[in-house]
Amino acid sequence: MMKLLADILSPEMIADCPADGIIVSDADFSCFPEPTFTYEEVKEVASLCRKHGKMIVLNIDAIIGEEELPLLIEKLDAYLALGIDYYLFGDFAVYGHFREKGEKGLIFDSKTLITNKEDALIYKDLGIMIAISNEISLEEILEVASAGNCLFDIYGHRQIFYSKRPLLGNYFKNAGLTGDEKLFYELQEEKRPEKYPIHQTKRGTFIYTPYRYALFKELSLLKDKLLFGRINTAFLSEDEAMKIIGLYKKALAGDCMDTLYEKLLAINPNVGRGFLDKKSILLKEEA
Amino acid sequence: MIELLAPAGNLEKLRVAVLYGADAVYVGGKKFSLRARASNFSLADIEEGCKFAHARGAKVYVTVNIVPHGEDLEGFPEYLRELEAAGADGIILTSLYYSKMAKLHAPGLELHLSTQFSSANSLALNFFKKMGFARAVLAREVGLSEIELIRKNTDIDLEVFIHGGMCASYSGRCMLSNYMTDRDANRGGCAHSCRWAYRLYGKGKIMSESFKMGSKDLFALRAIPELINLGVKSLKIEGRMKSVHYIGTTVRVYRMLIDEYLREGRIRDFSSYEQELYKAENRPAATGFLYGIPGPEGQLYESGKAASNDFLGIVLAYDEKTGWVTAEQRNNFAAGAEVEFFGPKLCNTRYVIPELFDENMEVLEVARHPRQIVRFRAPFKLNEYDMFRRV
Repeated sequence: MMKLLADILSPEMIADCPADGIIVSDADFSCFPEPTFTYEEVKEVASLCRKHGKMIVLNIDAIIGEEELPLLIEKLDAYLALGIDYYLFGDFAVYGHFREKGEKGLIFDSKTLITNKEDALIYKDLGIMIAISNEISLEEILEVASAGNCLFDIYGHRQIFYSKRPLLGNYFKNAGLTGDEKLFYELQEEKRPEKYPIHQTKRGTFIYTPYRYALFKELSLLKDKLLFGRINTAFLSEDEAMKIIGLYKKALAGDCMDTLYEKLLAINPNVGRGFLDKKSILLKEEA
Repeated sequence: MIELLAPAGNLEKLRVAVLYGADAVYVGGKKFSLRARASNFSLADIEEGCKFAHARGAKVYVTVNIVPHGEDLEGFPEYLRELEAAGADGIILTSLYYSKMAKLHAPGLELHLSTQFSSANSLALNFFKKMGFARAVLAREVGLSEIELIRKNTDIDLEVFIHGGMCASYSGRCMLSNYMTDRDANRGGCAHSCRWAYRLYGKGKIMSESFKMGSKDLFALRAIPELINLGVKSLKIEGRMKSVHYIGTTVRVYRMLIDEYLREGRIRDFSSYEQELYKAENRPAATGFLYGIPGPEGQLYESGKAASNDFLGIVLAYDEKTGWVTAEQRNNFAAGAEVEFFGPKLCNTRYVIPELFDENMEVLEVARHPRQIVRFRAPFKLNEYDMFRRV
């Protein structure tokens, strides 16, 4: 049965959070917009999770440069002592280090690279769980999930662009604009009405879907195939996040989907289905 | 020995790349490859390309670098066997399943990890080496100081981009195109959404009507000596979809520069090489991440240069007895035009084409038809695949 994971917005969420596990994002090595947490703060969160019977998942999903390895290794070794249950990682430096330490709870989350079952099984053979790509259809998700080592983002704004460049800061400098690059901005292309959240952190610039991706009514198909469903709380208020996590928990418990989905839309109707119902276009030339 | 690796979008570009000095070329097949709109190679083309390259001491790597969906797995083992039989030297991959299949079905193919994996550190690279990869294409976000450390901490062969287009995002981690246009960049359909202009909102108010985030092209010419000294195995030029003129010009310049450095231990004058490179159809360029994270100078805020029409033609044949040149037109030019010839064995040579004829020896005022066969006289030796451009 799928376990529900949710990104934490503050330690105060933990006690009453209906999720089975709490995702906490490392301040140095995660791409999560905010909040992110220092080692000492993660330690506090881990302690609260244990107290309230929650799994703790550390998010370290950044791409990591060679010069950052000493800090990464220092932090990973320190985290080992905290008894983190699972690590979401985006760079094989994490696996490379943890493999020697015998750490088992590793989930590779590249956002894009796991799009078929056979690849998922390769990672399974390596003892790695995987986050399924954001770019595939429900039919494909079901197939990949049958590998038995998968997590899937089931709700929230999805990260669809990851640059190492400070794109907002660079633009402000060039245009002579006074902008605070740490704020959240939105992009709108001239022929498209939707607005894409864009945010800059010390790790670079990130763009997100203009809507909250929501896989909800299909939970019944996936709950016995996925290990984890993630509720990404980026850009949500704590109050909203708690309500949404609660609705998903009830849905997994078998409550009436239609009623719950109406409640989900009442919280925020700006939801989308990404590639659940469609396939992307290939422009390959044929022979 | 350092390898100069060039793109080849079709057989003509492959021949030009090899003749102009590439030690290896990378090509895409009809299946399983990114750059969907490049006129990719059939298996027969790959075989012919391998024969041509191998006869001149060059290698051929085939890109198999899509992020495969379930439907992209069918027929892959057969394709691998066919690639190996066609003579390919290696394949460039993003999928670990594809790499497993390659080891099983085509063990003669060397495995190269695609830049789509955004590898940027030695811990990750050591993992991929254990997975059977002989070479990794580093993320374009890796700087020279990091390459130096990586080289010390891993013995996997390193391939580094030195010239050409750059994604604004980490390669392989971008879904802008797919979410905006349903075109999957990770399977070859990139719509280059990062190069569009956007309205930027801050706190709900419009801050700019023309926010841009595209990056300038990479132009690492002055870093080549350092990259060689650092022990990089392969220097890679981007641009399978670029013209034969771009391929010939860039490969020739980097070939000459590398040879000068290996021969002399230094480069006397970078600027002459730079001037030559600017004659190809380059967009505004910068040094990418080689010297640190790019500031505004690394971004493309202005509209790119319009496509150049300076490339006039390519030589098909030269008769040494009569001095007659047979060439294929690539852009309009007229009798009396001053042009610059260049080629693998030809220094830049300026010449005014006195008279111009079509292939039936009828006088032409202007060669105006695309790929028109033209004839004219030249008082110096030319070779097949020499090119000429507007002065």
